[in-house]
Amino acid sequence: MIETLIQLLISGAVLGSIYGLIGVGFSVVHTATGAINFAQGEFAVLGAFLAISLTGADLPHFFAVIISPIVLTLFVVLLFRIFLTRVADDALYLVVATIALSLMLKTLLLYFWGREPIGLSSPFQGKTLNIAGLMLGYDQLLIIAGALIAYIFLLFFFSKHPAGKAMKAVVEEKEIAMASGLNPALYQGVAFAFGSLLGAFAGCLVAPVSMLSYNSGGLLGLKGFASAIFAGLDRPERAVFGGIILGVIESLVVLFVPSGFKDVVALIVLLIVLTLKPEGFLSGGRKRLA
Amino acid sequence: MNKKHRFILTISILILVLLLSLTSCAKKETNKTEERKPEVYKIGVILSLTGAGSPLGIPERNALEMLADEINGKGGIDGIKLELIIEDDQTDPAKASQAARKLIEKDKVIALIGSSVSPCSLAIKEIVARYGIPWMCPSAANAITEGDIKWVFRTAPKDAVAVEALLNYISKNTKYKRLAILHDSNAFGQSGADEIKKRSVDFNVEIVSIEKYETNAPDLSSQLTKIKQSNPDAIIVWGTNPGPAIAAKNMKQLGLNIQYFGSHGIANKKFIELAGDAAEGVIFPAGKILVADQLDDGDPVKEYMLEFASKYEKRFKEKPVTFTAHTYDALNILVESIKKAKSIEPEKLREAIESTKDYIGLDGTIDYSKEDHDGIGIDDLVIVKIENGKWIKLQ
Repeated sequence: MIETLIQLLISGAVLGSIYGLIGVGFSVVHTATGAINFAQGEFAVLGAFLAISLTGADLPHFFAVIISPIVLTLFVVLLFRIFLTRVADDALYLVVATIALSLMLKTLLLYFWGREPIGLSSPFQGKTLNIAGLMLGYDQLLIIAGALIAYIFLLFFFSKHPAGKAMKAVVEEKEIAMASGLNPALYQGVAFAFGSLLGAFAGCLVAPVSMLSYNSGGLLGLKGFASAIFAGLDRPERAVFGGIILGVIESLVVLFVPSGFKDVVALIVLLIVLTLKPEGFLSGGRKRLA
Repeated sequence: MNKKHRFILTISILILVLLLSLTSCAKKETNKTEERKPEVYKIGVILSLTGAGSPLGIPERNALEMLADEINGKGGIDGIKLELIIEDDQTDPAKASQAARKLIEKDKVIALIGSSVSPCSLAIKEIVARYGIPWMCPSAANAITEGDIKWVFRTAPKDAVAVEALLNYISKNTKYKRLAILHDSNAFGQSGADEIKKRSVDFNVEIVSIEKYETNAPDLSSQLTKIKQSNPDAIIVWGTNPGPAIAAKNMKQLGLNIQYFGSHGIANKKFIELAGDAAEGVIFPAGKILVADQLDDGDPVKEYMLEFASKYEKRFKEKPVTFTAHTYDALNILVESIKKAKSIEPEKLREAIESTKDYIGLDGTIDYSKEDHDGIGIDDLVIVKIENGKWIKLQ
């Protein structure tokens, strides 16, 4: 029983790390623009598919996993410059624009990668660690490690680095920020770059253990969004833990309810958080300005 | 969080939920093999050409186009050509229902073929019952031929038949007494799991746990961990790609080294491709066409299947799968029945289909009767094992 419980915890934490990484993208964009980026799930799928194509072109796995998020980030920054800069100042317009972006990306995915699910071959050939009967795949370990590295990096960026602080200032007190010489468009662009980088990274990490298809972005996006809301949209780095907690809850509920309800958990969590504590359960520890 | 932010957040959630309910934005494929003439036999086809059902829908469409071209190339049915009007339901029952209504009302088709997956076929069933036109169904859920079966004729083996074939094989091996079931929560998975549970007593096996998953779930390790706890001798995974492939990979990763039995829903190359090494040793029931070259020489369907396979491979550069057989037989039976009925009046055409006897097709030998609109029996299935990435016939 204990063994099962721990194994479920591990499974949940692994999948939750993916949700968390995608969730950070939601929070970062929200921090800089006040909007929700609906294309976040598609960024993850696009990142994974790019990496799959790169390994298909005989590039080594790790190289592909690093190149793909970078390429996607450049692509998204370009998209932002061309299409989104003009609407980025009004959060509501930006939300609508990202819905359009999500649909366009989905069509692009369908066009270039086809309609069938594809997976990335595992660099470890599915090798697993057996720690006293508990099974942990190398791929799974890599996912958790990736999420933790992202967390530490983001923690440093938002609390220590001036650019991180400036990003928050832009949305919280825009006029004052502009008067202090900050350029909102720049930080909004940076936020989208972050979102796509982390989304693509998450996609590359999950692709070896799962299979994605052109329309997988919706579910991943929803889980990521729930993670971000759970953690509180104003603390981007904490979305990683929001995701892990969500993943663990999802995984553990199968012990108590039929496993078919597993995917409803994210929606229920969303509802509970928004009714009881709309600023998020992991929020706080710092006075909010807005 | 100020008021405006909260407003945007609320709107965002609403939109997200809405977007999720729209499964995809794929373009609709309408395909006409012949240009419209006043004197053609119009057949309505609804298949899942995009979305999760597409690994089934695409080969099913290929088979139909190949057969229609062949018949029209020979001058059609007594000089009248066939026209297929193909609609993509995007693996969405609501779209399948719309397509059926459009084909019947607007295109005035004489019969329907479709759809690829059971939820879509069940949606079509309601429409067909309302309008009353003959319908050939290539999908598997038991419920399709339960209740009002007047207008529906099935060419695929229904779940009950596939389950019987699999349990029959399992029960011959005394190693497998305690079974776990992992199934998709859609109609195909649910119907299969219910049937296994129901028949387990007859075959003297015990079902020790039943878990399910959402069709698009990216990971099944929590379900499998729970199954592992129940300590089964073997697992039956009932679903279509990619779920069963993810399950195979997760099992390997969790060190769950028990025999994997699959459904006829994984009788395609995609499963082997997706699951990779983890597909090795998987055993499942399938139509004979999957292993046509390994059939006994005395089998009446062998030669017919091999001939079809070579034609299909020549045109589409890939091996036919069981799903190709379902629609190929469906159209063939329709054509034979049109010839026999000498009429396209729904009731007469229906009676002609119902009187089909000993039709040798790609699915096996199909017989229909007033009470039985399922053409395929347990004799038409074989048990197949995956070895070195290839299908090997076991019985």
